[in-house]
Amino acid sequence: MKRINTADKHGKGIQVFLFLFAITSVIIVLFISFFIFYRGFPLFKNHSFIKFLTSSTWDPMADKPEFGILSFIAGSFYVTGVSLVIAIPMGIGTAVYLAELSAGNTAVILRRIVELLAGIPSVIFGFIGVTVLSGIVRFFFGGTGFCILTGGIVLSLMILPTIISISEVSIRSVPSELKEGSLALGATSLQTIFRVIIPAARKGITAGIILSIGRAVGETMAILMVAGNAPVMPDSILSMTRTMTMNIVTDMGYAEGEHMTSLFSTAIVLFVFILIINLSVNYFTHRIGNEKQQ
Amino acid sequence: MKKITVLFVLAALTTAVVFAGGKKEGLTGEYNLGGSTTVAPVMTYAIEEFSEIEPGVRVSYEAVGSSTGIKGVINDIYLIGGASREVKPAELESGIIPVPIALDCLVMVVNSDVTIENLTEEQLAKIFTGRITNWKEVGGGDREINVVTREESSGTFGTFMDMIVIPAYGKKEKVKSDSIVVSSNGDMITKVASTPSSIGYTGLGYVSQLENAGGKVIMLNSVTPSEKTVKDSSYALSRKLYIVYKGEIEEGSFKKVFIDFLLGKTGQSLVQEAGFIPLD
Amino acid sequence: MKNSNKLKQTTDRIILFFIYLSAFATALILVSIIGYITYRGLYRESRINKEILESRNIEYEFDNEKYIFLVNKTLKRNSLNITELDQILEKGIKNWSSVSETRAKIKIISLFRKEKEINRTYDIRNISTAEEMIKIFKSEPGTIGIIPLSARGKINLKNLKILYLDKNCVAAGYKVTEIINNSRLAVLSEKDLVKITNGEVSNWKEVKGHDIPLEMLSTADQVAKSSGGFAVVDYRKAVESGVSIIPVSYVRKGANFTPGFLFDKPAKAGKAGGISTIIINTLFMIVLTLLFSVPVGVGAAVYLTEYAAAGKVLKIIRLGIETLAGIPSIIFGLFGFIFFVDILNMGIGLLSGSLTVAMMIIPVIIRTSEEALRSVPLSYREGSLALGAGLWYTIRKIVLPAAKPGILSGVILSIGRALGETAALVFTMGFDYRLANGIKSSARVLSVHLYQLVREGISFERAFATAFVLMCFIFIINTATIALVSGKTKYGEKQ
Repeated sequence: MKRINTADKHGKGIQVFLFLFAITSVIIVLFISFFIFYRGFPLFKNHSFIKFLTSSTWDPMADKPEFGILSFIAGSFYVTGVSLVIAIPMGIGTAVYLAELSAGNTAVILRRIVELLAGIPSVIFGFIGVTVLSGIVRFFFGGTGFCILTGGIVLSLMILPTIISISEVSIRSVPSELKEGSLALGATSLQTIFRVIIPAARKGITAGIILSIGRAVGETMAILMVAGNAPVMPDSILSMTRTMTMNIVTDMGYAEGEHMTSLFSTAIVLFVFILIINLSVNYFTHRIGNEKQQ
Repeated sequence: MKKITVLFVLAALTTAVVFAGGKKEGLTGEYNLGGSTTVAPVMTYAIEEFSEIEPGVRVSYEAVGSSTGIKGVINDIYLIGGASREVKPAELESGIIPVPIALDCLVMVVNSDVTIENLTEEQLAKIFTGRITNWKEVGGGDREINVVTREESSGTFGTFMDMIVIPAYGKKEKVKSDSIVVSSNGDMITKVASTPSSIGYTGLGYVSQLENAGGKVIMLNSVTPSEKTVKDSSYALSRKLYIVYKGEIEEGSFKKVFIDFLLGKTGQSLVQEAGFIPLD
Repeated sequence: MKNSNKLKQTTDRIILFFIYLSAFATALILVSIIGYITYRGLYRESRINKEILESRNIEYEFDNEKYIFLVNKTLKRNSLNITELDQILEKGIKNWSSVSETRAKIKIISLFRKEKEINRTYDIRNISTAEEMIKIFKSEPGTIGIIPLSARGKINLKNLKILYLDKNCVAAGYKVTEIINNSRLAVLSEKDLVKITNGEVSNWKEVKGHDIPLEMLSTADQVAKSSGGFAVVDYRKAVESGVSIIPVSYVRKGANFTPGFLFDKPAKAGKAGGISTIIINTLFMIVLTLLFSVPVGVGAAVYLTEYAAAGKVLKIIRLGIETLAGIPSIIFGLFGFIFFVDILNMGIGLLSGSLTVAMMIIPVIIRTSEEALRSVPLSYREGSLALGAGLWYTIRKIVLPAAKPGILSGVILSIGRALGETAALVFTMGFDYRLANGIKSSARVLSVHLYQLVREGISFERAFATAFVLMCFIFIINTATIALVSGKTKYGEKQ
């Protein structure tokens, strides 16, 4: 696609201006990284970085404070895992249904509901988690009802809309020639869906899943209310946990001095985590994209 | 695109017009107050009523915690601070003057399925440090106790430690590690009211919402927390709430008028309305 | 061959079953969540423990003459108890928001009242005619009208109601509230109270108390001397005699959300009044946020689609946008808190909050605008350029107008995201629920209000009413987006 550049009078100026707009996102990202690091890094003058990552003793108010966030990293990891185990099959199943199997009003209504859910503030999910879901988990599995499982379920509800809509879009964008070809060769429509359409859409689906991992890891307000928030190393799916985001927001209101710095240090780890996820989205989409071209 | 621009300009103009409110006579100016989250409801109520009387002023209160509030008063960020703890000697030396505005107490709350009605301080200390883990050990049914506690940096947690745990063991002891940790009074209410066999603690001001949500308040050493028992000191877990300021109070200044308002009839009835106990 | 075909068919069936199951489960879960929010938003069932019974008396005595109290029907309170009445008459309580969810100044007027009768500090205005009284009721919704019981027939009660005055309580003998085996009767349910007063109860254990015979008595002094006595007595007399008072728990059901909730100012930290100023603050935030993010977002999209050439710079920009989109809102909150609030010294307020949210929604706007710009057929541009127009002129006059519906739908989508945002706003925008009076003024928005109501345990009922309102807003916004997107087909044909 070649464009004839017959720039008008201040064409160059406008181009520079628009370039500045385009580069804003990059600048914001750099700024955010800089400030989070700037505020969180001083902790490692007095405390070992390795210990920060590998110790599970969190005692910021003690006379000799200890900052170890391993259990929070583990918490984030487990909760996100549980939410994915629930949300991926449900989300992709629903997306396949919406894109290929449903007709007429059912799909329209279901899609509207999914969109509506995407905009509901997380506090409400948290409240429903405390009053309804924790009771259900308690009934079936015992314990307090505030645990990794409940947290995972609440998160899965919150990431379902992301997975559903991104997967649906990518399933829909599979060229119809592929589908028609498969059907013409005598494949059943199910075979077509699983052998042809889903593999062709896997780039988008993967991106959607990774994006929802980012959302799950970064979610704060809802998970804060349902995961129990005890700063202990979780030993089963039914034990309480505190995630990195929960740790930041729990102490944010009161923390002072080094304690406050340690919250920013937690944010660094979270941030790097998210960066890795984002970079892998980028990598996945591009690699698969390239494969396709070859 | 033009329409969008017009829309934006219009919106911006409306915003500007609404913002440019007129000023009236009486006290004027903007005053920033800040401090304890516990004191926040009283201050919010008071500010609301105060601006009815003095429409020219705009007062705001930021709930940032007692320590930050006092620090803010020392550094002239806040004109008046709210504190839910005693002022420390070092703070007094920096010129901080505390004025008590209300009485408060910690109340022990349990889920409605807990049959017991009373606990002693010693039993409480044992429950929260994990030495008692079953309700049958204190006269209830045979069920595990679910302990709900506040985050370590909160003032309410500090008060609980100072009044229950430290007197029992002579030193700071850790709350049992598998307690549910909540980071606000609202969350405490929701958790205790919805978790069977649970016990937690909160301020007197949250009792009605707790009862509405389905929890109950228990007695401590056979004393029910109430205005009467706090005032005659028979209830053990009471504390004072303060506002703090620095320097002279001039007649007719905002500081003077506002503090008088808080200590006056309306102010004290707002204290009661916020769930605390007015001074006499 | 046949077997494998059969097997395939079975697997196909199972897979199909799972797809339908997951779609059905998703639909069921999502509908129940929305249903739950709607249900709790519209209907409430609240419990309240009261020492002073809802005894439904209507008369109040001043100096041997009986009076009744009238209030507007719109008031969300049917009764006052004597302690509240005292506080009102002694000027401690000045607004209905102190004792109800209605926000209205209390004004007391009196009709046909002889001089010197009510010796209180409150200014009671004397009114001479019923018409004048009705007029005051209309202009001042928080009015309390005191009229002699004998004059009841002379007033048209069309928009008014008689306020009940509660003054009785349940007094019980000393043994009833004693702790035995760490249990006691701490509260009596309304049903049990009715049973007792109907004489159906002969022992306290029938109403979850100790095993003590229940003795029906009539005065507080009698009860104070008894071990298992019961009487409904005047609250003040009960307090004087020192008898134990048992609170009664009432369950109240009714409408939660009312239209007034949308149009009234919030009061008492959200306990009373409505959410009008919060809705307006939310609009301010949205306007400001869009002011910051739309030019940048659309500009960036124009650059990416119309100017940028493939290369390293483009790759970095794309990576930046994608990364920005993935950053969790708590990190935006922390950043906004350090950078805007602290370092740039903007303070906690509209400006800091809007800038923070603007950063969050820029990627959404870029993405959707890019898509919209790309779907404008190349022929449009070529035509314009061939006619000798410059590139910027072409973009301004041809491409952007053609892409407008798509861009707008992106903007609307990002409004939805900004509406639901909490974590980033808590530390940057503040909690003040009054109307913002400046760009730096702390301003509470709907999602933060919701957060505060739940977090501070102010009122879970009102939190759900707010959530319901927010959900309706989002529904409207989504509908608008869909309408716009379907309007887009005007420029339909793809390249």
